[in-house]
Amino acid sequence: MKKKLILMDLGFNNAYIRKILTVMRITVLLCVLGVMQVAAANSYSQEARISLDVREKAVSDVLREIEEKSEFFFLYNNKLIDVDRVVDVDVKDKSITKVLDLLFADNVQRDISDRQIVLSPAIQQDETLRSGVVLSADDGLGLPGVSVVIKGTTIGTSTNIDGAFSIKANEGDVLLISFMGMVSQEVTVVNNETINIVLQSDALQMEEVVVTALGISRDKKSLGYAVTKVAGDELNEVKTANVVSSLNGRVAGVNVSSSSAFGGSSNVVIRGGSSITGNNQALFVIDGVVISNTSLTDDNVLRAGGEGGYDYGNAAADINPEEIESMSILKGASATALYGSRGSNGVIIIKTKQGKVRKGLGVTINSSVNFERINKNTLPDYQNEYGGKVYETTIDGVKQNVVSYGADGSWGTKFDPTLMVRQWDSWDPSDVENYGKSRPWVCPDNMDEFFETGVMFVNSVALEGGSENGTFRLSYTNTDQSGTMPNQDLTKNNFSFNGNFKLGEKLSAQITGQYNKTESTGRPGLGYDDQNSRSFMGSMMWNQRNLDFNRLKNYQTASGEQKTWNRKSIADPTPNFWDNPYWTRYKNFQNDSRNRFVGALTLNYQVNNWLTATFRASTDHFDFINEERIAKGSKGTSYYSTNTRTETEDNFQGTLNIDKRFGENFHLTGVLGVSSRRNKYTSIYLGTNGGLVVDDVYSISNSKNKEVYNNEWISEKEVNSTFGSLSLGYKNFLYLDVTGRNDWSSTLPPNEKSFFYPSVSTSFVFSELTDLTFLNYGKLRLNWAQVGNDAGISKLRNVYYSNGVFGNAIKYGSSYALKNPQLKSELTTSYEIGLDLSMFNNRVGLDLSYYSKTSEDQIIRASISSATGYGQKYLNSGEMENKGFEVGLNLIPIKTENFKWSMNLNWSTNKNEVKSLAPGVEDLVLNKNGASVIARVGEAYGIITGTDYVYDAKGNKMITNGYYDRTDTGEIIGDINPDWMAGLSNSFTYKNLTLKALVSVRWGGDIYSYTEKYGRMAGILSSTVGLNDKGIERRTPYWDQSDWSVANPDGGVALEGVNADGTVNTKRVEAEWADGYMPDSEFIVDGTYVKLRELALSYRLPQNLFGKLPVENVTFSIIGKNLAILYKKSDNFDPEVVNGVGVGGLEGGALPSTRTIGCSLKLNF
Amino acid sequence: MKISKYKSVILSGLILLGLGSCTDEFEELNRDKKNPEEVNSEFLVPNVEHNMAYRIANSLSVNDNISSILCQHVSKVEYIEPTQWRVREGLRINHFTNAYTQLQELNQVINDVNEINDLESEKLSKNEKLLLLRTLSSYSWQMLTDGFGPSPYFEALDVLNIQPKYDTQQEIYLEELDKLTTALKNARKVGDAFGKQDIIYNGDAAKWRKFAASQLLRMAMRIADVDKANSVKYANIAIEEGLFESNADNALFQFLPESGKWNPVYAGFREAFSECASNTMIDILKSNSDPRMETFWSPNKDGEYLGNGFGVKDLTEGKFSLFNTETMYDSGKSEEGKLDLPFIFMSYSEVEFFLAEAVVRGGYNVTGTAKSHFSAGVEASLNYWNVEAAKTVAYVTAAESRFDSASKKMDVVATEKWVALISQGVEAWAEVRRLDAPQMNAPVGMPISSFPTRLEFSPNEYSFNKANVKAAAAAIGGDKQTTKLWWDVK
Repeated sequence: MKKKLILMDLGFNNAYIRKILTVMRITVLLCVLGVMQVAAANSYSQEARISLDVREKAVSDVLREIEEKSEFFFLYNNKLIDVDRVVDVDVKDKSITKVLDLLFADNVQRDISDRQIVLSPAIQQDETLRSGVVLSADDGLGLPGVSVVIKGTTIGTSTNIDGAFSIKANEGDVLLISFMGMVSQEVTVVNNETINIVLQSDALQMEEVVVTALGISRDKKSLGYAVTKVAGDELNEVKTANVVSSLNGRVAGVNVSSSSAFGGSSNVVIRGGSSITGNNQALFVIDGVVISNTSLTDDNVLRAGGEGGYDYGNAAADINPEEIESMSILKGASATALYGSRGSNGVIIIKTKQGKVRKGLGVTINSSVNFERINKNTLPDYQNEYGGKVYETTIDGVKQNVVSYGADGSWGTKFDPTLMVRQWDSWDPSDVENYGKSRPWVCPDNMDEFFETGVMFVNSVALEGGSENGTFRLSYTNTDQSGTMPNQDLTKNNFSFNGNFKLGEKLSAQITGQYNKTESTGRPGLGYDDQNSRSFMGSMMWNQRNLDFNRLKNYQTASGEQKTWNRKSIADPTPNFWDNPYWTRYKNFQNDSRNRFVGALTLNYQVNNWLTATFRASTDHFDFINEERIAKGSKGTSYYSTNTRTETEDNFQGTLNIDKRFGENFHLTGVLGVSSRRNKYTSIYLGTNGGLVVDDVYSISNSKNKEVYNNEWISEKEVNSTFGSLSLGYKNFLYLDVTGRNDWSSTLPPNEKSFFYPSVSTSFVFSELTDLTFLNYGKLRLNWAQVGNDAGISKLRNVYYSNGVFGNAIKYGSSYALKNPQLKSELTTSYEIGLDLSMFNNRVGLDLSYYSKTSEDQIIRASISSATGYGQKYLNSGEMENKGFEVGLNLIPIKTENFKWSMNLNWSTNKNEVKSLAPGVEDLVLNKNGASVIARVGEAYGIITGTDYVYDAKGNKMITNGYYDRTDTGEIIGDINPDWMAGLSNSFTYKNLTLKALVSVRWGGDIYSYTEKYGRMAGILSSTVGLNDKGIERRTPYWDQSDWSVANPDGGVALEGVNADGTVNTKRVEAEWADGYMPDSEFIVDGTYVKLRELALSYRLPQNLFGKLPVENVTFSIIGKNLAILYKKSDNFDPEVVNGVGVGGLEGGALPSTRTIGCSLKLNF
Repeated sequence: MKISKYKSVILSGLILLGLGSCTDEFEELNRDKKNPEEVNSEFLVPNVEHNMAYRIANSLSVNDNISSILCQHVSKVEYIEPTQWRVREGLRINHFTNAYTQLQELNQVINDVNEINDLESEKLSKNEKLLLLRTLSSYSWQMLTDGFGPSPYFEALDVLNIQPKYDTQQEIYLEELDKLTTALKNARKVGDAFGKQDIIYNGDAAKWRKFAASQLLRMAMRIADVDKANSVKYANIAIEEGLFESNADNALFQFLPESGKWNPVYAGFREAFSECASNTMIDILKSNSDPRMETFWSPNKDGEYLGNGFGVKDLTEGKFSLFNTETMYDSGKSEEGKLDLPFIFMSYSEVEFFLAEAVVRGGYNVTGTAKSHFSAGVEASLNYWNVEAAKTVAYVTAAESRFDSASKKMDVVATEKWVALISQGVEAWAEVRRLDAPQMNAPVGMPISSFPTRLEFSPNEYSFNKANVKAAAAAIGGDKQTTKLWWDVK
C-alpha cells in the first residue's frame, strides 16, 4: 500500500456526512453543486444565536448538538483537540464565538468562516517542519505529486509542482518517498539537513502499483494473475475518436477489432470469448464505476450481407481519452471475480486524471488536428476492361448506343474510347450540359473520389489544483470531426469533474462525474441493404465500371428528382436497384444524439489503522435518440423513424478494506463487501408505414398509413451480491489470495437465483530468495478462479407478440424463440500460470502466461429444428475451452545519457474448442448469411461452414456438366480465429525528441467475403477478366444464346478439375455463369495483416526556453495512424474491418480503412 | 467516541444495502412488460391465415418461394438463378420453418378449442372451428411434404423433442387424409368458425365445409398414381361431403391495399423487377389463342407478346411481356397495380379439373363426363378472370374440341389446369410434376439441367437435426433436387 494517498490531519465533523448521505440518492451532480455551494456561502456566523443546556457531556457531544441546532459544522482532529473532556454548558441566545469561549481555552484556535468552524491547536507541536525536494533522475527536474510519508504512520504529503515538499517530522523518522513508475526510496530525517532525493525511473515498472478490482491499488508483485497497465499518454498520443480502438496491438491477449465506419464500433475481446452466444466484450470500469459498453446497433443489421443499417457505435466510445490517467487490463477471471459475472471476459480499469496538490491552479491545454484519408489499397481490386451492357436502339428515329441502365453488373461491353455511348446522366432535359450527349466508352476508375478528407479537431482544457484539504480536476474536451464520406459530422462535448475532499481526519470523499454529449449526422450505412442503398460499399458490390464518380455528384434534377446511374429504363428515371450514392448521402442521412452521465460518490472512512470502510454510489445513464430517413424518390419507400433508448445502471456498494501486518512477516489485506446493482433499459421505436405524405417532412405524423411501425421494451434487472477477498503476504515474497462472491439475480428462476463463485491465487517472488546478480526480479504466479453468470432479462416465460390487425381481425403470434423456466447460472472456471522476470539492470523484462478457461452451463439461444414449431430455444448448454499463451518482452537495447531505445513486444495465441452443446444441439449459428460462422462440438469456436468443392481421391476438384460439384452447406471451410497476434512498439528518445512506432500483426483467421462473392457475380473484380485456358479472353461467349449453338469453341472457360469418370474436364461454360456458381469455400480469405499502426514524433521544448514564463511544459507531436498495411492477403478489403460488434468472420461491403495524419500541441502551465 | 458513530452510520448503510433489496420482487422485475404471456388463442387464427397466404402467394421470391418460376409461368431477364433451377438455401429454410411455425400455432388453437369448448354454449361451434383448423393444417402439411417429401410428422411440434425423426410422405398424406375426413364428418352442426377472426370466409361454416371437402379431394387426387385405392376412397368422401360449386365458393385470401397487408408479389415487384412472361406460358397461350393472354400479360414495346426462355439473361429493355397491371401484379414497379390481388387457396375451377381427371382415370364416384367437368373448369377460370362472355364461349368450345381430339386427354386437362393455376405457383409446380404436362423448357449450358422435382432438405436440418435428416435422405435415395416424391411415380 505504499502509494496510498495519505489522509490529512484535519478532522471533519459528522454534520457534513449527514448532508452527503441525504443527497446520496440524488444525483452525484447535485452533490458536486452542493459542495460548491458550501464553499461559496455568506456570513451566517454573525447572526446565528445558540441556546444550550447540557450537563456532564463530552465536548464532542456538545459540538454535535450545536451542529444539530444550527447550521454550523466543525472541523477538527480529535488527536489534537481534546473533545472527550466532560463539560456543563448553559447559554441562551449567544453568538457562536461566545459559546466557543465557554467550551475551549486559549490553546484551541477557532477559525470561523461562515458556517464552518475549524478547531486547531494554537500551539505548535514540537515536531519540526522539514523541507526537501524530489528530483527525477531522468531529467533532473522536480517531480510533482510524489508521495512523502513518515513510515509507520499515515502522516504524509506530496510534492508541489517544483518537486518541493515540507512535512512535520522528528529526527530519526523515516520518510518513504514513492512515485508511480519510479523506484521508491526511504530517507531518514537528520536535523538541519534539507532532504534532497533523486528518484530513478523504474523502466520496467516491476515494482509498479496497479489498480485492481474495486479500484484497489496493489503492488504488482503481490498479484497472482496477469495485469497489464497502459499509460494514458501512450493511448492518447495518437487520437482516435473511440478510445477502445487505441488499445490495438498494445497488450498481449487483447484482441481489438474496429469498424472503419465513421463513429463506428470497436470490439475488445480478451483471451478469446468465453461465452458461446453471449457478450464476450471486456468490462469497462472508470474510477470504480462499471460503465455500459452496449452496442447501440442490432447485430443483424450490420452483419456482412445483412439487411443493412447504421453502426451507432458502442457506448464505451463516450470515454474521454484525454482524461485517462492509466488503464489496467485484468485478463484472468481471478482478477475479476470481484466485479461479478460481467468481469469474466476481462476488465479494463480506467483511472482518470486527478488533481494534484500544487501551488496555484494547473492548466493543461491540448489541441490536436487529424486528417483522415481512405487507404486506396483497401478498396476492392476492380477490373477496368468491361462495363455495363451497351446496345443500339432507336429513339425518336435516331439510332444511338445506350446502356442497360437497369442492370447493375459489369458483364457487358468492353471499354473502347471510340465507342460513343449515351450514359445515365444524358436523359435529364434540365441538364443542358449533358442532355442527349454521348461520351466515349471508358472506365474512369475513380471510386476513391467519392471519399473526402476527414478532419478531426480535439481541443481540451483541464484545470487542476489542490491543497491538503483536497484536490480537484475539471476538464472540458471538444471533439469536432468530419468524416471521409460526404455529409458526415460528429461532435462530442465532454465535461469531467474529479474531486477528492478530506472531510475529516478519517473521512474522505471522492466525487467523479462526466457528462458527454455526442451528436452525429450521416453515419455510413453498413451491411448489404439492397432496400435502401444506405451502405455505400454494399451498394457498390454491384456496379457498372463505366461509372464516373465525379458525374454522380450531379444527383438530382433541377426540380429535385433523383438521378441515378441505375435508372429503371430509358423512359423511367426512378432507381431500379440502387440509389445514386450522393443522393443517399445528402437525402437519406441519419442523425443521432446521446447524452450520457456517469458519476460516482465515494466515501472512505478510516476506522483504525488497518481497517477502512468505503461506500460508493454510482450511476451510469444515457439516453440516445436516432432518426433515420428515406426521401421520396428513393428506391425504397419514403420513410422516417425515430428511436429513443435509455439505459441506466445504479450501483450501491459498501466495503470494508483490511490492511494489517502481523509481526514482521505477515501482511493481510482484503475486502469484504455488499453491493446492489439495478439496470433498466428502455426503448421506443416508431417508424412511418407506407411512405410519407408530404415530401421532406420527417415526422411520424407524416406517415401515409396511420398504423405506424412500433416496437418498445422496458427491461429491468437487479443483482445483489456479497463478496470478499483476502490476501495474505509472507515476507514480501509469498502471497496468497482468496476471493468469493455470491450473487442473487432477478433473471434466474427463484430456486436458481443465488450462485457462488470462488478464486484462489498465489504469487511467489523468488528473486527475493536468490542472489543471482543478473536477476532483478522474478515472480511465479498461479491462480484458479470461477465466475458465475446469470441469464438475459425475461428469458424464462414465453410471450405472444401483437401483429396488429388485418381488417377486423386481431392478430397475435407466438415467439420464434422458446423461453425456458428451468435455466440456471453459468460457470466459467479458469487457471493460469505465469512468470515475470526482470534482468540485467531491468533492461530485459519478460512476462509469460499460460491460461486455460472452461465455460459450462452456458445459457444459449440455440437454433433447433424448426419441426418443433419454434426456431430457437433458450438452453443451459455447452462447455467451451480456451487455452492460450502470452508473451510480453521489454527491452532497453540502448540507454545513454541522451539517448534511449526501448522496445516492447507482445505476442499471444489462443486456441479454443467447443466441448459440448446442449443435448441434441450439434451446431450453433453465430453469424449467418449464406456461409455461417458457427460453434460446432469438437471444433474451434467460430468455424465457417458452407459449401466446399468436392475432391476426388487424388485431390482433384470434381466437375459435373462443366461446373464444380459442391458439398452440402455444413462443410467446414474456414476458422475465424487467428493463429497468433502480436504487437511491437519501439520508442527512441533523444534529449527532448521522441519517436514511437507501433506495428501490430494478426496472423491467420479466415473471413468469408461477400465483396468477393458478389464482385465475382457482378463481374466487377479483376479476377473476372483475363485469359482463359485457350489464351483468349475468358469473357468471350461460348454459346450463342439465341439458338444455343456454339458461338466460339474456344470461348468461355473450361474449369480445372475432373469429371466423375476421372477424365479431365473439357466442357466449356460461360465465364459469367462459372464465376456466379462457385462453392462458398472459393470466397474464404485469409485475414492476416501486418500494420504500421502508429508512428509518432514528439518534441518537448526545453524548460530553459520559457525563462520566467509560467509555462511548465510544451510538447508538440506529429502522429500518423494506420499509415501502411505492410502485409495482407485479402485483395478486396482491409481484413481488420469488421461489421459491427459481433463474432466477425463475415465480410460484405466493408468500408475502406483510413490513414490518419495529425499534429497536437500540449501546454501545461 | 466519534468513531463508533461513523462506523454505525456506514455499517447500517451496508446492512440496508444487503437487505434492502427485496428479492421477492425479482420475478415481477424479470417479466416482459410489453408483451402478454397469455392471449385468446383465436388471435392466432388470422395470424396463421395471413402468414400462409403471404408465403404461398409470394411465389416469385428467391428467398421464400419461386414456384411460379419453377412451374414456368414466369421467367426472368436478370438474376436468373431461379430460371437456372438454382434454389437458394434460404428458400428451403423458409419453406420448412414457415410450415411448422403455422402448424405450431394451429396446434395451440386446436388444443384450446378442444379444452374450452366442452361448455354447452360453445359446443355448437367446436367442430366447425376444428374443421377450419384441420383444413389449414392439412394444407400446410401437404405443401410441406410436396416440397421435401419426407418431413418430421409424428414427433414434430414437441418442444421437448428438439430432434424429431422424419416420416415418409405416404404416412403424412394418409394420416392427414384420415384426420381431415374425421373433422369433416364431425362438423355436422351449423355454426360459426371464429367469426371475423377468420379472414378467408368471415367464419362461414358452410363455406369451410366445402373448402375442407375440396382440399380432401386435392390431397386424394395427388396420390392417384401411387395409391389408387386410397385416392378413390378419400375422393369419394370428398365428393359426398360437398365440393365447391361455383366461383362464389372459392377460398380466397383478400389482401388489403395497405403496406404490410398487400399481396407480397406486388410488394416484391415494387422493390425490383426482373420478372417477365416465360416463353412456356406465352407459347401455350398463343397457340390456343387464349383470351387470358391479355388478361395476364401486357405486350412488349413492339406490341407483341413475348416470353423469355430459361437460363437466359437478356437485358434488352422492353423486349418481353410483363404482367398486365390492370388485372395482375405490377411488374413495372410503379405504385399502381393490383396490390390487393387476392390469393387463391383453392378455386372451383381446380375442383372441376380434378373431377375431370377422376372421370378420365375411372373408378371414382363422379357424376358427369370428363368433358363436362373439363369445360366447367375452363369456364370457371375465364369467368374468374373476367374474360368477356363471347370470348369465353368461343374459348371453351375450342378447348372442348382440343379435348375431344386428344389422344392423351389428361395432357389437355393438365395444360388447361396449368394455365388456370396462374398466381398459384405452388399448386402449378406440384401438378406439372405429377401430370408431366405441359412440357417444360430446359435451361442450356447451366449447372443444373434436370427439372426440379423436389426441394432439397432445409440446410438447417443438417445442423440441428443431422441424424434424422440424413436417415430421411438415405431413405429416398439421396437428398437431391431431382429425386421424385412418393406420389410422383411417372
